[in-house]
Amino acid sequence: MSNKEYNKEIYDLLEAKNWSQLSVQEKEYVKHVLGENEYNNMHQTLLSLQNETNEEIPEIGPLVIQKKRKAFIQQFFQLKMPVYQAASILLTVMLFSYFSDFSKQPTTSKNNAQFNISAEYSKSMKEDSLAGIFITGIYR
Amino acid sequence: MKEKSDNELILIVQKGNKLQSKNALNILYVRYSQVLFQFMFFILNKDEDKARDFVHDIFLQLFEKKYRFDSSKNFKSWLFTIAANKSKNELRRLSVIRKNESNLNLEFSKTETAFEFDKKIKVWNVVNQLEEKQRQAVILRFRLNWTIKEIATFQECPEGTVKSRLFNALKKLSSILEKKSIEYFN
Repeated sequence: MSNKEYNKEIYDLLEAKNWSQLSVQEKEYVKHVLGENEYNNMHQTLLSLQNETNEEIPEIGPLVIQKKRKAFIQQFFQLKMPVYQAASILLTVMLFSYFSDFSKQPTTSKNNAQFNISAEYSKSMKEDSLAGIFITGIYR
Repeated sequence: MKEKSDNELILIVQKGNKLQSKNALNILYVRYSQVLFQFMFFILNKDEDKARDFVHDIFLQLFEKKYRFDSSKNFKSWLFTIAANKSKNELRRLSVIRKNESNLNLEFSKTETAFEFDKKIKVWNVVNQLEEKQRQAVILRFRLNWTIKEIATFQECPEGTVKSRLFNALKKLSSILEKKSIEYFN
């Protein structure tokens, strides 16, 4: 008989009987494979596994709403992706045309340094506010 | 809908309209969330938050139809298989941590009282030292009272293999407990 076969048979005995409940024949068989001491220890461990179940297991509770909302948002964006993408493309085009207008501004005169500085300043201000709007739009 | 079998309900979740699907999922959640939570709780070294997150994720993914149910299979086994697969990466991570910590949680200091020792040496505190399949079998058999046949279906192996796994698990657990008590009392 293979080890696995022995293990199977002794496991059945362990679940059913303690050492004193085994028949003479069963005791001989167990002694041949394990020994009395080890059988007793394993039986005791099995009883502990069965009995030490009074430890409080926390309750799982209902499905967390946040998760539901998260899943819903993910689903929403999956479904609406073409619309979302179209909106992003449109916004990119608008931004591009907006910045193209700036590039046409008359500058380059060496004598007009002050004008250049103020134009750059106003351009950067507009870029900042536009970026702000853009970012807010995305996060909404 | 409450009278329907698990297999009927999961098919509604996967093929019904949104409302039917939601109702069916709720019933399955009531039936299985707590036992699945218990299973994950012990598999993941009693990490309550992680176990809860895993179970919620599984049910949400059932709703999102991420997993396809084969109607020839048993729903309970299928659900626990998803859970076991999902926990694999986490277990791998935990085993790395455990190696690094070299089982610090089971080192006993001589200043501990017998009561503290007794509390620590409880058998369920050392179940995490079993290898994965043995641990699954022990939790399902002794915590969730599954039959050997149910465990065999879940682990996709003959009943004899399950018994052999349980036998080896008992042998290992009793030797760990014995070793620890000898270490402590000497």
